[in-house]
Amino acid sequence: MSNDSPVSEIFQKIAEMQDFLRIGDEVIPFLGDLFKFIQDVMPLMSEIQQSFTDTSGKLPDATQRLNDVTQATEMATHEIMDKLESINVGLDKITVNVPDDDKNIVETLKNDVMDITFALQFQDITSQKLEHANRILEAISKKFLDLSKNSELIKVKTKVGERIMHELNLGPNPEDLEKTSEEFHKETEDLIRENEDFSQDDIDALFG
Amino acid sequence: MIDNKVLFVDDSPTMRRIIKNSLQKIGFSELIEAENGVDALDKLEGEDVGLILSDWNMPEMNGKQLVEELKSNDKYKDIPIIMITTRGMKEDVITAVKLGVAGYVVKPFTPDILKGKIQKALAK
Repeated sequence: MSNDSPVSEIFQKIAEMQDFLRIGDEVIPFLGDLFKFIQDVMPLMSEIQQSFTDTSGKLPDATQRLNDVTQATEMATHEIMDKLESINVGLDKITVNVPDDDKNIVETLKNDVMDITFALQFQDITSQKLEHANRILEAISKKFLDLSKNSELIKVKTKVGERIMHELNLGPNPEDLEKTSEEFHKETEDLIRENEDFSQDDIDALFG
Repeated sequence: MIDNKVLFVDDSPTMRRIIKNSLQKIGFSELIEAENGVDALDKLEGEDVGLILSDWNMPEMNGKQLVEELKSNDKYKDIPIIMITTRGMKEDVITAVKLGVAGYVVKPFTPDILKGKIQKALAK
């Protein structure tokens, strides 16, 4: 009986089926675990997706509120400056009639007014810091949107992925994840970098 | 009164007002204010300005770009420029020095610091 006889072919097929079943014995539990894992992860992914949507929706509002703070402090600062200028005008007027012994008091008051005026630089400084915070928020918002778009990549690769993404209700238009990630780091790093300080004395030393 | 006409550039109305008060107290009477680099270049046209004070972070054209423009223009390259900014990083200061600014003041500053930097810049 040759090896190519129908009987030996049948034995060969049986051996192949045994091999297949042996592999199946190992693969099926793994697939079971995998599907269970996906089942467990799905609610978490849905929650993350919902967080992206919620957070992205709230960021423009946060940005607007920061702009409102800047506007409000600017208005208040200018009101204070108006009053200070008015006090200065008054001090200039009374200086003429003040006895010589008291002129230094008026001069001290005028210097105090000037010091208060200079202290109002806080408004510009804080508004610039809020502007930095705004730009970071905008970068985060953009990143969230990019992440939503990039997660769509899964959809085009596998049927399972398509089902999962359908469940998560994500939109189309996949983008280049790596590129947006680099952009995000570049934008935020540059902003955070600006917070590092170098004292006025150090600066003066550079000018000699 | 000091004869030099001064151009000061800052996008913050608060800072422009503070600088204006300060310059008037120092004795400068002829003051020109601008909101950013583009506005500054426009307002420099036809003016004989002896000193420029400029912020760094501004929209449209920032202070660094303004200094680059001024230093590359024969008409303006010799006007002393003092940067007044919140950017206090060594890297930024070195950039400003290389561009040829005459002084660098970090916000917040006092009237005396500004006065000292102006005197030094005009003495060069």
